[in-house]
Amino acid sequence: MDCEHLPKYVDFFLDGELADVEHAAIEAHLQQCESCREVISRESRFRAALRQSLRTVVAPGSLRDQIEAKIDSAGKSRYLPTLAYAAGIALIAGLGYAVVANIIANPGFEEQAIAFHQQNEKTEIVGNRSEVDSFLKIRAPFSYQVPLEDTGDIKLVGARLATVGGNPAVVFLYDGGGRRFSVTQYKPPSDWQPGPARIGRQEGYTYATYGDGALVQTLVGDMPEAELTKIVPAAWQK
Amino acid sequence: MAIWKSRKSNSERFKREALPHLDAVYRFALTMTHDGALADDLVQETYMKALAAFDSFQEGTNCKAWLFRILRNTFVNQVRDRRKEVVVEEIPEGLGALWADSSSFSDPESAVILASTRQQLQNALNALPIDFRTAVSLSDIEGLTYQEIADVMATPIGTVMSRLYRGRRMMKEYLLRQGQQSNSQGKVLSLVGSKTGRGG
Ligand SMILES: [Zn+2]
Repeated sequence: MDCEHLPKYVDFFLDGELADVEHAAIEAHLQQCESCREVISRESRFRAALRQSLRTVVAPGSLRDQIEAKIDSAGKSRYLPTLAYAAGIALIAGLGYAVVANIIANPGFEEQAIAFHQQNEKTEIVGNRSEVDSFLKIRAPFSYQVPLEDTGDIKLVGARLATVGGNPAVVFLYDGGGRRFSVTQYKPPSDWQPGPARIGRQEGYTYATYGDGALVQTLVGDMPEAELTKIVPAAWQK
Repeated sequence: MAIWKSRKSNSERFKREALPHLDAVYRFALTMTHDGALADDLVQETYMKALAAFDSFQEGTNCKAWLFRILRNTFVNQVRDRRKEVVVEEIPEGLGALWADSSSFSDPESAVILASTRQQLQNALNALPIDFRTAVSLSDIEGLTYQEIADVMATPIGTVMSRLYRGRRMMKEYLLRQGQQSNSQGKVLSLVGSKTGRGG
């Protein structure tokens, strides 16, 4: 090994990817050559700076909690983890969707959400917010977010899995002062444009669709538009 | 009941093996997506897939590398499913001439590069095309071997070596430019008494 050839091996040397013989040859050269030692030292200081700086990024605590909870629920689940994860949606939502697909000839998101709203009897979990949450945690194949927090007037009372436009969805069922309304949440299509809530009426129901690039929801109820608009979170009101 | 029990102990074993790598998996997800919310989703999906496939994990092999492989496959498939354009900016190889040197720089240049801040290092890594930043972060930040990186990325080991070489070099060039810019900016700003310059 000599000064001329050493630069070719610096990366391999520091990555620990050289055969023992080559590694030893370089170490022997470094013992007696200060300029090559300097080359190695500069490079290794750069690697150290990179590693130390960027290793400081750690996972959010909430993510750790969510994953641990999902692993725990999967351990207790009567489904195998594989089933709960991969086939769960096909088993649970597939049948429901097949029925819906037959009813609706040309389904838009609102039409589908209204159809889900009408199918109260298909609700898979009836319970309060935390019961609904632990049911969905292991079954929902995407990172849903409970769309509305409980208030004095509004209460989450149930949920089920569904499919909107071929994508997994969760239908949340709410009680609003004795009136039922539902929120169907799904991943937005690729051409989704965030903006103020889209509000309208169809088949005797009022709906509002709103969301960002990550999650979109369609709120459906039989109340007047003005009342439904009040439920839409402030960020999505005009 | 026996089945229930074994499933339970399976998930306990999975937690012991896989959860300690959560920070690394999250960092890798951020490296791939550049987006906290997408990274969250990707990490959750990775862990659920890993749990479902835990039987196929061979004890004694690198669990972190195994999780990285699942994550990268999931990410690549998601991008394909969404039919978004996969940006694989392959840079012309031109090996030979480039391999004549290591990726190291001259003395004064190195001084500028080594003065980089944490944020500048992060920006430099983020600026690399995806396959290059994947290779660099797996090697330089997470400490995987060339063979492990090749497995994660499903590429030959030679491709890993050239991506590492070029990725590191591009990062340094980026840092050199940033450092020179902020040095000259620092000088100008110090003339008007500002303290925002990173002193030159
Ligand atoms: Zn020498």
